[in-house]
This record gives sequence, C-alpha cells and structure tokens, in this order.
Amino acid sequence: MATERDLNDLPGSGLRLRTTAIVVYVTLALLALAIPQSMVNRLNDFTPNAARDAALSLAQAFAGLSHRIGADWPYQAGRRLFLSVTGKQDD
Amino acid sequence: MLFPTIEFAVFFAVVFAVSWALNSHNTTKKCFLVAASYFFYAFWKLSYVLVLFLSSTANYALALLLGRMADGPLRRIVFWLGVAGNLAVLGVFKYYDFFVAQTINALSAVGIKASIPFLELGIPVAISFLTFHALSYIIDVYNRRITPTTSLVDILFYISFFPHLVAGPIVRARDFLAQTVRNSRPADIRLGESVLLIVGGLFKKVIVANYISTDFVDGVFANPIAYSSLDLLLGMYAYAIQIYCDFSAYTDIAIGIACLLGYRFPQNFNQPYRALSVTDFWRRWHITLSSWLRDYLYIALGGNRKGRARTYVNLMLTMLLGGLWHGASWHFVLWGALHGIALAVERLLGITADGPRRIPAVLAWLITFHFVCITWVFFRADSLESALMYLGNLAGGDVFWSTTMTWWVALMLLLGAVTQFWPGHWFDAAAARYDRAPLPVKIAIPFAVIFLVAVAAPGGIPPFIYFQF
Repeated sequence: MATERDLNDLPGSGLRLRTTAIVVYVTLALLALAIPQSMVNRLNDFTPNAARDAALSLAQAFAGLSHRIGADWPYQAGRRLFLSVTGKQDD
Repeated sequence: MLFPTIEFAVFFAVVFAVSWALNSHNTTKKCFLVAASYFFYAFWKLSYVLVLFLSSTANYALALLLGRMADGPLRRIVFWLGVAGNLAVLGVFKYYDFFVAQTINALSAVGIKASIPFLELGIPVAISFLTFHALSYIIDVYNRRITPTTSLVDILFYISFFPHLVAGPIVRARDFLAQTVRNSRPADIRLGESVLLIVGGLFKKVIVANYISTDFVDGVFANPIAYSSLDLLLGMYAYAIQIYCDFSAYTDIAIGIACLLGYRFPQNFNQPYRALSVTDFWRRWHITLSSWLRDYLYIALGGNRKGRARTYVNLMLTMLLGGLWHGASWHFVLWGALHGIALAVERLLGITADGPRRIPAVLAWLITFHFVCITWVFFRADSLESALMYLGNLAGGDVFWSTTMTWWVALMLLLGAVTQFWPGHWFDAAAARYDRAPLPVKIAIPFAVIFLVAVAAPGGIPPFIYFQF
C-alpha cells in the first residue's frame, strides 16, 4: 500500500510544488515592481499606526526604486492610454 | 478582506508558503490554516469571529453526541434541537428584525398598536454560508452518512477555511473532511486550472461586473422612472451578466486558491444562461446551493415520493426558503416563489433539464433566459415596490429607442455574454496547454492578465454581491 511519503514522492510532485511557488511569487514580485503605486495608495487608506507607517515607508521606497529604473512606466502609460480611450477619469 | 486586493495578495503569499512548509505536519498545518481563516474573517469585524467559533464548536459537540447515540426518539430530538439552534443563530441575526417589522405591520393593519423591540444586531458576513456548512455536517452525521470527527481542528477548519468561508462554494463535510485527514499532495495541484480560474475570476469581477454595475445597472435600478424602456430592458440583461460575472468570479477564485493549497472544491457554475429550462438553469447556477437545497430540504420534505400534489408543494417550499435564504425581504421571497412555480409548471408539463421536446431549442432558450432575467429584477431591486415599478416602466415607458448605455458597458456585456457560449472543453484545453508551457510563459500569463486588469480597473472594488448573504 502506498504511504503518504510515497505519494508525495511521485515523479514530478516536488517539481510541481516548486513550479507553483515560482509562478506565485515571481508573478507577485513582478506586479509589485510594475504597479508599486497601488501598494502606496492602498496603505494610505488604512488607519495610521506603527505597522502601517513602516509598511508605507517600505512601499514608498519600493515605488521610488521602481520609478528610477522605469519599471512603472508601462503601467503609467497603459493607464493614461486607457483613460484617454474610454474617457474615464482616475478617482 | 476581498480577493482582488493587495492585502489579500500579501495574505495569500504568506499562507501559501507556511501551509506547504507545514504539510508534513498535517495537524499543525490545519491549525495554521484555521488561524489564517479567522484572521481573514476578522478583517470585517472582530466580534464575528466569536459567532464563527461558537457555531463550529457547538456543531462539533453535537455531531459527536449524535454519533454516539443509538437511533431512536431521543436522538431525533437532539438532532432537531441542533437544527433549530443553527437556524436560531441565522434567525436572530438575519430574520428577527424582518419578522418583527412584518408582525407590527400586520397588527397595525387590524388596528392593534404593538411595540416589539428590534435587535438591530447587524448581520455577520456570510452567516448563511456558515450555517449551511454546519447543517450539512450534522445532517450527514444524523443520517449516518459520515462518522463524526473527533478532531475539533478539522471542524473549525471545515467551516472556516477562508476560500469558501464568505461566499461559497458550499462544500459538503464528507467531501472536505476526507481531504483533511491526510497531508495535501503536491501532485494534486492543478496549476493551469488554478491560474486560469483566478485570473479569469479577477477579470470577470474587477472589469466586467464592476463596470456594468457602476456605469449602468446601479443608476438604472436606483431610479427606473428616469430611464427609457430600452435602458430598463438593457439594465435587466446587464444585471443578469453582472451577477453571473460577480458571483462566479468569487467561486472561481475560491476554487483556484483552494487548489493551490492542495484542496478540491466542487464546481459552482456551468454556463447557466445556456439553460433550456428553469430546471436546467438550477443545475448550472450556484450548483452547490441548489444541490444542497435538493438533498437537505427537498428530499427531506419527501421530494417526489409522496404523490404529485406534495411534490409541487415541496418544490415551492424549497424555492421559497431558497429565496428567503438570500435575504429577509419580500422581493427575495417572490424571486424564490417565481422559480418554484416555474419548476412546478415544468414538472407538470414533463419538461426536464434537457429542455422541452415540443418546441425548438432556441425558443426554449429564449423563454428560459427571459424568465430568469425578469426574476433577477426582483432579486436586484431594493424592495418589491421598486421591482414592480421597474417592470411597470419597462413595459410602459416613454422613449423606447434612447439609451444611456456607453460603448464601454456594451463591450463589457459582450465579454460577459461570451463566457456563456464558448465550448466547455476550451477551458480544459487551455489549462492543459498552460501546464505544458515553459516556466517563463507560466509566469507571463498571470502577470499580463493581472497587469491589464489593473490598467483598466475602476478606482475602488465594491464587495461581491453574495457577501451580503
């Protein structure tokens, strides 16, 4: 009878978890780099406290870095294009 | 905490890593997932967590008691007390004030001035889903379909697991508890399916449902007399697309997230607007609720085993209570009643889930779709009066051919409608292709879709419609 360890050691089992983890974390990291202002905006919505302030400082530093290397440019340009085409306005 | 938010992304990033790191210690992992789920729920209001914990603990103890008792009248009494207790929790929070208001109105109509206090407690988020999960557990234990678990952690986990906690899908205890007794298997992760469900869900909710709602449906339903008949007609279709995209998005994301954590949830939607009969519609719409109502209410009432007349009564009762489950208001009751009548009529005419045999399929589809859309007006309106006003203006409004619908909303409607008509096997084929794709493509697809969703997203994300239930 197959044990739990046997089932977890099925060929490709570890690879599948590793692949899933890479997809999840690299996607989130790329999104954070490409749309850093969203983190800053969201944190600004929270009630100020020590944890929120620390996270906000970190997010602002990250947003600054993203802007310096130009990683946020596609989002800014895409958003401007979207607003001009649809006639919508940013809140 | 809403799924399409940054705080949820951070929350999930932590939960994913810790739960898989703890996978070889199953009990510890489940304790962690319970804590994470309670944290998720506490985002709405901390005191709601107490309701969740007390309900879960009470049902755990009740199930153990039912499991140990011999069949007989005493066991039946204990069981019914348990059912009544669960319904009482739901009743106090969700229905008490409604029934008090109806009683005061009824007494006032016959000249009696009653003074019954309102509780005004506020409704804990998703209390109806929570109650249905708990009820399914104790009913299955009572009917000896499952053995009650001795693990309190398993019950806390089953009822509170954050992907399904707030708006389903309604997961059966026997299906879920079977998955909690062993470690999750990485081999069971279906990455392609999960990624497509999550990004597709984000698109349906953040873009399609939100724009249809804020740019068109909300205005039309708020003041129907200010709009043309055409607007009201389009508003009715638009709401049908909106509620599908909103609700199916939530359950798609829930199923995808659960799958990434190693758990399987049942399918909740199957292109419902393709239905050829109302019977067919209920096999495609909110499948986990309709099957719950069928198994635990309709069949428990006798189903079709007690004669023709009783079958119709059972159908009506099931759908009336299904309507009331959505909210303490007459417009929900009428919505349920209309569906109950339609199901009874279809049964009388011998129409099954395959649709009527005597009329062309396209006509059956048209009738079913328009019946469902008209009943959605009762579902969406703030009250019975508003719904009737909406339909009255739709039938007899002034300017028929003018519309305030923008090309953007029309595009959203088209995109929402497309989800109903693409072949079912496309999803499986796309998921399989994703699974075979090289790693950079696997990353590029969710990144690109979420990036585009963010580019086109409205300023704020309203809550999912089904949160209120």
